[in-house]
Amino acid sequence: MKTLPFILLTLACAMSLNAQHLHNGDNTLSAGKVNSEHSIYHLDAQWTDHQGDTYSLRNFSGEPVIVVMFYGNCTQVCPILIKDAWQLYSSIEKSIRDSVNVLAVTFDTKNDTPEVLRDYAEYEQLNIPNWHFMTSESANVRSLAMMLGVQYTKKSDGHFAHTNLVTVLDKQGRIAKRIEGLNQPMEKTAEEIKSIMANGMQQ
Amino acid sequence: MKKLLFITLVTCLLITSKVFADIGNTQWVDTVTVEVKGTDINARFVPVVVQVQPGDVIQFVVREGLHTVSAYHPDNRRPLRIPETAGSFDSGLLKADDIWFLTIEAEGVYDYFCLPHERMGHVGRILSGSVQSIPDYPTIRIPEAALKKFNTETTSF
Repeated sequence: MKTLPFILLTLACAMSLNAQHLHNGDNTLSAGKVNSEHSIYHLDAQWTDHQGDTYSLRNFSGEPVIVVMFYGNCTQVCPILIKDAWQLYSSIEKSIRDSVNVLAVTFDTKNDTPEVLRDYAEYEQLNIPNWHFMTSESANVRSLAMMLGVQYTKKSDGHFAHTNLVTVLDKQGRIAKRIEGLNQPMEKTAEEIKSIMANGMQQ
Repeated sequence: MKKLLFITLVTCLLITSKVFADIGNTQWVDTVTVEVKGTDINARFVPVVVQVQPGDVIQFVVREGLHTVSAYHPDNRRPLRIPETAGSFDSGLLKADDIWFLTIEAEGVYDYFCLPHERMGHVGRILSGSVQSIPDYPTIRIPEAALKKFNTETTSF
């Protein structure tokens, strides 16, 4: 009998913690803290993009990179998140845009095969140079998400609750800018990417 | 007495004709409502086709879910399926109880979609002014379910 209050208290705490992380109904998680001194290029893993090409993240060093995490079956915010990444990309001055890569990394390593990602890129009309819809082993995706401060969890219905975040990496793979939320203005961030290109040592 | 009656009659006629002339010149702006209902495969615009006049305002009222109202336009990475003289539009993310207003300026056929649910056929059509036939709009890279809806639910007008 004494254990009942303890169980109830534990449940209440768990529900309270859960409530702190779920917003906008049920699918949005807040971005986690990150260390902007660490380079994601230290992650030693192989990634495959929608063209079937394999990469190590450090292959993208030397230029600014835009990273967005999503999943292909999302019927809520991911198409808007991808649109936001495209909005940022297309806001970058044309003369330097070709030097910026965009990595759209899927949470759904089970369903989003390179072939599925190719169809997705075609559908979104983003099967274009510099855009890489990428997948890897689940552990690698989780590691990248942790370094970016992207939280995600798979729900019982097969969908994911996740952070809505667009991240800009500097030339060394460190986090230079994070844009959390949807439909955010991108012009200032586009200017910052230009500055990264010019300075090369953006923090 | 007859003269007074005649003057009164002429005055009434002049006033009446002026009133009707003013009514004829007035640009009446109407507001049409489209409800955005459902989620996932049940997501839909109700009604799926609306008839308006140039200058009319359409209010999109979101009843549930997360949606957008986005023009088929290259600005939204889609083929052009609105009049060439019209500007693109995109509501951004809308959630339950949001209301978004769209003013239709040009005559013609406007096709639009919901970004999260386009693949499930969540599309709609606006007929503005006197539309005699649906233009031969491009179909490339438009999801099958969306085309099906355009071909089966939006053709009668």
